[in-house]
Amino acid sequence: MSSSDSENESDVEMILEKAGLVTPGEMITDDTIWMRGHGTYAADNVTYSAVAGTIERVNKLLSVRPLRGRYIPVIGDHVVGRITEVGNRRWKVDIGASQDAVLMLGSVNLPGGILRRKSDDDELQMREFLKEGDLLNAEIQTLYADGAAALHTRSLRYGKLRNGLFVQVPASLVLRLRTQVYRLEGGIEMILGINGYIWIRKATSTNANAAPMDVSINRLEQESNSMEIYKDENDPIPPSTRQTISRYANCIQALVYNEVGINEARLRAVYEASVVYTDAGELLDNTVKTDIVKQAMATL
Amino acid sequence: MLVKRASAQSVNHKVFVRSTKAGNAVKVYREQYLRDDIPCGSQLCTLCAEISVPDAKGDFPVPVLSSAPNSTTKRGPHYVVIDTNVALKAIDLLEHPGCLYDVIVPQIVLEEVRNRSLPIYARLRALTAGHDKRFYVFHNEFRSETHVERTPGESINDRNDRAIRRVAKWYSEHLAKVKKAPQVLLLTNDKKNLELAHKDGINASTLHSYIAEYKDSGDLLDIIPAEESFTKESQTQIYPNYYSSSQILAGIKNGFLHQGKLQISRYNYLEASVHTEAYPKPLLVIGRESMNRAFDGDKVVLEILPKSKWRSPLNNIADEENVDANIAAENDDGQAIVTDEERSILAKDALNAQHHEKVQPTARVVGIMKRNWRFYVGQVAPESVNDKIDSGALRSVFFVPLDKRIPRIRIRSRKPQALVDQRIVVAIDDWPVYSRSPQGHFVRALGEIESKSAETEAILLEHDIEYRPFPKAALDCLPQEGHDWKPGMNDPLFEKRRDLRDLLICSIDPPRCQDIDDALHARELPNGNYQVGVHIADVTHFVKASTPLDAEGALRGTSTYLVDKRIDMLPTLLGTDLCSLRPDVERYAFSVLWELDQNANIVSVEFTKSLIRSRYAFEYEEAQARIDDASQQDDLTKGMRALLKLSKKLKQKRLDAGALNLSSPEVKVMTDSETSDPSSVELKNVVDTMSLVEEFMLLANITVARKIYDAYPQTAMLRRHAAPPATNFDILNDQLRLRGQPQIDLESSKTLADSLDRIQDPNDPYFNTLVRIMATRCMMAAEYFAAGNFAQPEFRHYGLASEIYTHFTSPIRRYADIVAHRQLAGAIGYESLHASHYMKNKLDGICDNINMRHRNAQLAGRASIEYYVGQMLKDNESLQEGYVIRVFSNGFGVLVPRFGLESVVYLQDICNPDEAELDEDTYTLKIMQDGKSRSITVFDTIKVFVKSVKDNKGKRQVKMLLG
Amino acid sequence: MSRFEIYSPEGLRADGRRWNELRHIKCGINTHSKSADGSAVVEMGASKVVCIVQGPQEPETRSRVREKATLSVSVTVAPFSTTERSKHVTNDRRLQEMSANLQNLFEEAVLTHLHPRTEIVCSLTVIAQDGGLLSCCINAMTLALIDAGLPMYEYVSACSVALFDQTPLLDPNNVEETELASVTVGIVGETDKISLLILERRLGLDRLPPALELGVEGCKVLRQVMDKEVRRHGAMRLASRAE
Repeated sequence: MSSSDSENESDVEMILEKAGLVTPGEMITDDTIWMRGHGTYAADNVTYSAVAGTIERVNKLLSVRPLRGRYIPVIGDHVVGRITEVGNRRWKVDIGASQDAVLMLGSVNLPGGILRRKSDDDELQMREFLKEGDLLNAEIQTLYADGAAALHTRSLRYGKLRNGLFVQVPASLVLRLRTQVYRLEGGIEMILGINGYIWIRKATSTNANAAPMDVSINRLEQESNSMEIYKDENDPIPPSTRQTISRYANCIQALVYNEVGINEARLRAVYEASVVYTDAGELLDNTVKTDIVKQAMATL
Repeated sequence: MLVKRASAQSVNHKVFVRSTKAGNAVKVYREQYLRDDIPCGSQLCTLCAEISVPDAKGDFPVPVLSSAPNSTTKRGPHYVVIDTNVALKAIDLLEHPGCLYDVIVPQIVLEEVRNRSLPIYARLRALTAGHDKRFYVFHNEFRSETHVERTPGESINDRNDRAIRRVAKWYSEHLAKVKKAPQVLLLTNDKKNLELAHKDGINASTLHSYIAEYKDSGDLLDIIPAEESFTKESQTQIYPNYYSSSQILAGIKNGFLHQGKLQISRYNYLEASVHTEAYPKPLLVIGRESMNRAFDGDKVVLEILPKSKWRSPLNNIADEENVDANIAAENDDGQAIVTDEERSILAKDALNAQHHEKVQPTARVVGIMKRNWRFYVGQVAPESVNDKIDSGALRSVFFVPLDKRIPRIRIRSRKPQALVDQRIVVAIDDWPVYSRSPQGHFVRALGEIESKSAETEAILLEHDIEYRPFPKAALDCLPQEGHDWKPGMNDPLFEKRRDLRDLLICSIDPPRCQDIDDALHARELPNGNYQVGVHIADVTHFVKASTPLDAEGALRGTSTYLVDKRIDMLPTLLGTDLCSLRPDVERYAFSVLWELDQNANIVSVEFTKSLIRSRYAFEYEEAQARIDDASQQDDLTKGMRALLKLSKKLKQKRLDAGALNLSSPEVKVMTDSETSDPSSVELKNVVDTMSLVEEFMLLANITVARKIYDAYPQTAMLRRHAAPPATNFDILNDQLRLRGQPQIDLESSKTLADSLDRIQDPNDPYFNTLVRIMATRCMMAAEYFAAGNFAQPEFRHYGLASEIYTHFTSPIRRYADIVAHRQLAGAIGYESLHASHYMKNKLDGICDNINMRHRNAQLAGRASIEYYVGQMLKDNESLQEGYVIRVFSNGFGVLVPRFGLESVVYLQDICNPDEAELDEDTYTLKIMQDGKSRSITVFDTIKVFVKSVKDNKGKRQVKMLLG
Repeated sequence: MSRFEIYSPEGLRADGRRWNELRHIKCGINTHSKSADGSAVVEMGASKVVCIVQGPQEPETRSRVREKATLSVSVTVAPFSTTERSKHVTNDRRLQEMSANLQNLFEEAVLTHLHPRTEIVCSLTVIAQDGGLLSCCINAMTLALIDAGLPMYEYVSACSVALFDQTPLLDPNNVEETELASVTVGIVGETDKISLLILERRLGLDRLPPALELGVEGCKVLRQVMDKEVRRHGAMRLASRAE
């Protein structure tokens, strides 16, 4: 058996050598000892790659991670989404995955407190809370068998979004971190959805000191008593704040342009590097994008 | 199989917008891939042998340029590079075996020639294909070293000239590396090009001075086309200029100008008509100035004249020879374009036109889209030759073409006197605005005028009939076994053939027929019906589509029958042996087998390729005798009797349906078997067995037509005969009315046939035939077409009263039948059909060609008979009975049935034309003869002296005088 | 009658290629990264096609909800791409047929069962037409689908072959396509198995085998070219990620 082990070892070597890149139809291994994961398929007991990407190995599981692709939901992910459909006791939410996620009426906080019973009236006025086109942030609660996700917003940090700007980036460029919500310089708050959907907004007093864990039940009840959390109108936003929001949006695009993963530190660094350009519009230039990202990465 | 990618560096990518002839803007993508593997084609070169690559079949290109090229008196061994103009103008010289070997044809030259003249392109390609003159096409545009880009501001012509110079330059540099390198000489007649070439250090010369370097260059120099310096400087312009191409494009688009094919009247060279899309009736073009240098058959652009200048068609005969022959060739230029004689004809005519208000829209030529220039056969006008003895200096002389519709052509020769009695061939070079006549050059002499060989060749050339021996490539396609070929040899499809050798098949043909393409059989079936088979020579077994043999057959289109000569469409080996269904040998056939009931109704039909053995080859009379001989009771004779019985029923059905029985004055020239001189002329006679064969051939053709139309609704090769427009018969009916005869009824072909039967003159049995002949001339011509070009009701064959028709039964002598055979073979799943036979545009091309060839072959046949009759009459002038069939103001047309001869009697030969008077309403010409008045009306029987005269211009014509 | 010799006796085509040569191929992957999940541009000679892939995503209509991903293909021809500028035709039968062909072909090549209840929208835009339109579309679509990270068994590559009498001519341009009968061959991967075969005109069966053989070889070359582009682009991405 030892000989087969050593063969296995050399096989691993070979696979890792290839680790650079595989393309569709390329043979990964003809050894049946491996389990086939995502991005692979088998024919005659030979494992082939189905996508262009890199081979990843977890114990005996071989998979190929595509270079690009849609967001694949994982339980616990903090995502930003947009309502596409209002249905029977549920909303459909576009979260950039291959299927729309489901947000059950029962998975949201409704005005009137956490302990309130859901009534038929609530069902009739679902659009009062969230309607088509509304943006929200939520957490992936469960996954269905076909890969579709179910969301919940049962926390004060989740819910409807306003006072800001939506930016969409490839999900693969968003780096997973402890938290996806940052306070940034210039009175800006950013929700970096793991699905590549990003919300940049004015930091308000309510959520300014809202370190999420400190929220008391009382506060929650207080807040959710009113329809405040489902309000559609923006608060007054001064032009300087608007400028800053745009600047951050452009900084994100600069990172995307350079295929650099996005996290808080990098964004801050890029923002700082961008300040030399007084007009946020200047950042749209491709050479500027590369420039500021290079500068920023050098400081890190 | 090796697939290569073109590399990015070598691609030359162009996108440009161009305006089309129709005035639309089109976007053109053009890519050019430059390469280094195009060989120079010289046997001396070792470098190119390494770089050359094989073609799809794995064959490598063969270097054709000799390792020891020819020298001239002044020049050592050399290769020649030609430019476009030399190729276009001096193609005759290039083909001449006496000069110009080892010629490099740059690709750009070939392309330009192709765009300017397809026939010359084909000839140039033939030169490069045959290796005897060692012509090599060098793809300069694709070889990276010789590719040139057009510089800003440079005209396309200048760029192309530069490309050609680059070729010459490259060759001399390229060949400099080999030992004993030949010179490279650029031939161009363009002064600027010559100058630039010299500046670049390229050996260059004009064609003229190069040819002069040859020993005994005199003959060759005559063939050189006229250069610009043909006539003196400072010419006065006598023809209007053509409109610019942009004017023409705009004019056509706006509908101010019209285009069409110019057709010059056979009776009057000053009158032409043009069918245009815009008008139902043809536009008239009258007079030299209006025709503005256009030739018969040219595609011209017309402008309608103001209404005040509209005219009626001329009603007199005019022959350039008789009108203005006395103009010296040397100072032809600058003269009035219209001579006094011509003016008088036109003036008289204008007067007539105003009397009768039959004016038609009249137009003038303002541009020529496409010339229809070809070779012209004729002779030098003797009176234009001034010198008694050829001095060797260049002289301008007039050339008189045989075709009356073609104007005289001015040519230059060093020895005109030697040409006077010769039939010669001339090509046209140009027709400048200051020259009354077109300018051309001598190509070659066919032989003495009136010698049989020269006249026969002249007839063939005039009718554009390919009579040269079959090219080697075509002959290579024949079975290698030659006459020893036996069925079943190398034939993978032999299994699919049905063995019909046990059937009692025979053929019935005219006497001494060698190319037997049809045979028949009939036998009674147990149920009382008959099985009848028509077996057609299986030519397509030997002539496979898209082989050189097929190409040659397609080009020839039909066999041509002259009095003493047959020009075959296919090589003799096939025509008279391998395909010919000769008795007692096994032959391949394509069989149509019917089951016919007692009344000749089709019960079922079957098509199959077969193997047959004919039992006997009958002549018509022989077959008739056998059938009539009651003592013959063998199965073969019984079968023939059944065929005859059925054929009579078929014929009756056809006649009931309205099939026409039309006549043409067909005669047969009997030639002396020893000398093949014509001895007598006979009318063809008819026996029953002729119509026996004919009926079954018609039946086969119709049956096959239906089958191939089913299989190939777009591209089936069919033949149609349109119903004649009623107006065609207006004049004839008018003439019949005056004669007190019933009218021809055009309601349907049936009524037409019936009404023709009713026209009788009890005193003159020939009268009916005469009317039939005249009626035939009012009919449309039958034509081949691809089924998709017409709606089904228009497929109708009017003359045969059949809904659909094709030609299937004579594949040895008609190309249409070959196409039909292939389509039928495809339809029954015997063999897959070649692409060219189911692509409509290809088939349209085939149809156009065979229609034209068919017509030409008929005309040539008639011309041949005419020539022989003329020869026969040479010594025996005779008084014959003739019929007046047409009257003009200065003459009338007579048909002499005895000889099947038609000619014009000119009034000037019999009386004073000024005293004659034409009454167009009664078709009567009143003349004064010997002090007595006499009137000549259409249908009159008159006595005419028929004699053959050699007129003062050396042209033999049949001349008739009133008896 | 074409202005040029389609295939000269010297073995050269009107644009200077020999019988077995592909035109210059240029392909780009991820060309429209912001506006699509996958995108590619393929140029074969002067022909140019852009393919945009969206998805897999929520199907637009319920009818497209199936137990595997639905491929929706649409082909648009830019009015300026043709020889003669034509008015936009929405329901061109030729284009619909082409879309259907593309859809059938790729449903075999994409592992659609991995994305149930979704739709993959492929929009092809023809920018320039100089022959080989269908092959160009197929190649562009392959690249765009790979770019979108969709699982596929193999590359799908296609090229066409025209027949000049008995000689097959690889990758015909517009002039050759108008003059001659041609066949488009598509293969999945590097096999000799033909997945797509489209004849634009009638063609004798006996003339087909040499054309197919050449076409398959052409496809293999095209697959290599595409693979190279995918690797180039992948390497570039990985490099920038590593920074």
